Amino acid sequence: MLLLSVSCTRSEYDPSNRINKEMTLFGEEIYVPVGQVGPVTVKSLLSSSKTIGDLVNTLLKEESDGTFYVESDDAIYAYNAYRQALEIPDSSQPYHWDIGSQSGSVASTASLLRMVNMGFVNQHLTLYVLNPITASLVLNTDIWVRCTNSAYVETYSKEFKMEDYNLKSSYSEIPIVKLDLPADLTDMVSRVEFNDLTLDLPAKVGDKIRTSDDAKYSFGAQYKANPAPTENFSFAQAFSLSNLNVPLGKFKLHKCVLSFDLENTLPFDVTVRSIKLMNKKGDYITDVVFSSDIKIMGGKPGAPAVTPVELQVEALEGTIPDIEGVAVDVKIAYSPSVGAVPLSSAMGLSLKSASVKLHGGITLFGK
Amino acid sequence: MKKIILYIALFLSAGTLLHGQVYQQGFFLKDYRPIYRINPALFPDSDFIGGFELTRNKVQNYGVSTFYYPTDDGLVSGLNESVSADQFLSRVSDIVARQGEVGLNLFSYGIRRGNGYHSFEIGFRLPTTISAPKGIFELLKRGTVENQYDLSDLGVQYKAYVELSYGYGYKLSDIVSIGGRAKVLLALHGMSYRFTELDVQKSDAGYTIYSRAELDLPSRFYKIDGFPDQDINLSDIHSSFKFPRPTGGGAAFDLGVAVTPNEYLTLSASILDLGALAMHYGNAAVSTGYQYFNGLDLSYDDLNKNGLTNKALEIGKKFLDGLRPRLRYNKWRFEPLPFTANLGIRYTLPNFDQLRIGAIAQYTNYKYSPYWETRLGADYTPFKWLDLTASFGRGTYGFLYGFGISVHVSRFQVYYGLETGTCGTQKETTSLIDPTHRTWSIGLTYDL
Repeated sequence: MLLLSVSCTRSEYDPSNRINKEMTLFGEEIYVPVGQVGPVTVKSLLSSSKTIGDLVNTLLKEESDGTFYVESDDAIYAYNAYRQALEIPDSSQPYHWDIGSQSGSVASTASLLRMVNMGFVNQHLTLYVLNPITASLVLNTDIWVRCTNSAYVETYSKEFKMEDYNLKSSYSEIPIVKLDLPADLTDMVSRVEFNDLTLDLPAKVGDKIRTSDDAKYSFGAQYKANPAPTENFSFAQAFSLSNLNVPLGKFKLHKCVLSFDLENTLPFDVTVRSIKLMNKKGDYITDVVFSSDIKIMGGKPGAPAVTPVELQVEALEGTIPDIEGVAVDVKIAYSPSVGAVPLSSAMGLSLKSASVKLHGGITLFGK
Repeated sequence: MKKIILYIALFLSAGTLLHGQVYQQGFFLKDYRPIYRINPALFPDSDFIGGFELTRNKVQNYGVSTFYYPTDDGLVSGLNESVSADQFLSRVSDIVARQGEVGLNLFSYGIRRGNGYHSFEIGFRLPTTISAPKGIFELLKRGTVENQYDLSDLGVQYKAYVELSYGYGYKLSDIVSIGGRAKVLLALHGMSYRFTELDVQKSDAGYTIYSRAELDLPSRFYKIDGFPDQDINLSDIHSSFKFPRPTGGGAAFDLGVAVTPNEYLTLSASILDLGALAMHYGNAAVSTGYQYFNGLDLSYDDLNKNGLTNKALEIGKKFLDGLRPRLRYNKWRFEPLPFTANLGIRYTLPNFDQLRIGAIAQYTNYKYSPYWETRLGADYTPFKWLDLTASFGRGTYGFLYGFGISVHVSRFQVYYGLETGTCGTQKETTSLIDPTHRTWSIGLTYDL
């Protein structure tokens, strides 16, 4: 009797036939709110990449509030005290030592940053002398501090006349000039000149030299400043990342729209000029296009710039394949609306109200 | 162990399904003893007792072709890209449901007294339902195109009850008979977990989900640790078997009239299972409230594979926590039974009384998928000890057919019958492959 309970399953629906398990979910659109992402700060990036972190740490130091600064101590002129004593014709008499004009560059570390058109604010310069003998010296000179822009055109100079300046005996460096450069000056101190430099030495100066292997008359400059992007700061750079190995191909994605408000406290305007994907061979995937010329406004801590951004990734034909690399061409430039703001490790980017809209579905169990 | 019992119960409730369905072809069979189940105004000529009689039926508003499609590339699901959203969703009902019932008549007794016929029955019924709203399939197929989704009516439930019935049919005249059956229902068990409300609202800020889910368990079988309004976990549910005295009750009535203008023709009309069942759930729990999904909110440290996975799991856990039921003391739930209306006509050929022909129509108001069918049937008695019945017709889900056989050995009668649909069409567009309605019945009676 059970034979009477026949099945009416048609042959084309016979489950013993081949079953293609491929399915595409959310075929028209799926909206996924992502919310807030970040902030991704300079500090977090530096800590996640030891190489970059070490590189930056050799150039920059960090205040307790995260503000970066450069600091240098450069010798302008130095002369061995024993050697100088031997050169005095009559050591029993005081001696007027005419050193002549001496000059040198300062801020050697900062000058590296100037190569990328970085400017400097809050510049402090201290000129000092090291007196290697146990008696006072008399200093006479005409000091010039000069600043130049990135084209090496002088934009600032200041003179300090030192007449009969008494250099007392001291184990440490004796500051003779302390200079806070104007707040609106972003061109770095490039040169310090000691013109007509003379020292009046006491009699028997050789007997008064402090016992030290390194006893010398030394003239130097200590420099400290905060790097800040300035008007000339601008550079374009193409970055590429390879070996990403993102296996998107099997999901057969067609189009993805990322929307977010980008909150920026970095004092740069950033333009993303192009984003290109690369396949395993390293060739650009021309079938997949991104929206380009995304402009992100610069901001600063306490006054972040918020830029609505919509980034589209779309496969013109077919679907987005496996991605092996990505090449990004960006231009980073001074932000006139922000001005020269000292760089800080607390600066960074964060995404607000981020969301993803995926058009065309996500394929699972695909071939 | 306690959890296993709960899982088994939920599994059972998902595996079977329906209420009150009667074996329609019994109307055509020459000597179908419990014909009063179709119409209490109809009754056999002889007294009888029945023993083991099993009926199982199911109604579902989906079939293989609802979800699978033959293509040159093999059989694909409706979620395959080659199947358009309109094509797939047009096959899916607003509420995709499978309802069924296993019925076991433990004892039947019919006795004729004068113009009247008394019947007594003790039976057991196990109706089950599983349901899912169309919105779920729409979300999976199309994605979040709309701003609002109503996913209510997602759930599983079953009940188990004993049915004690007494019926009486009476011949008012040689032409007209009337009859009625009264049924006392004693609920033994039941379980239900369902979202009475599940609304998903999309906005630019994210998703807002409002849900109201009810978990109902009878206290004679389960005990939930906790206090009222306290969130409960699955681990708080313990089996607590006590002798199954009724955990609810109800009543139902069958009413019918039969007209026999002459000895060859019978007209029948009846309405069955007018009634309701009230279940007492000693362990009732409910979860209700809003949940919000506005994003993952990723910190820099989360921007890696593990971080993203952990964040997703955290949100998933939070969502499930939001669905955790809060305990209540207990509750009664009152549910009407799906009633059935029957109309039938039967004619015995005057010059060839071995053959009877007829037609029967039925309508049952199942909650999620009301069902109707009309059926033409014939019964042939080649030998005194054998009855063969066949029928065909059309129902909610298209073409249907049936077979039946009845064998008489001495005073014993064994009958078996199958009613099923086949390859019908749904919504006038596509073929539906699996029978979406099927009843089979097997029984044994002894004439006194």
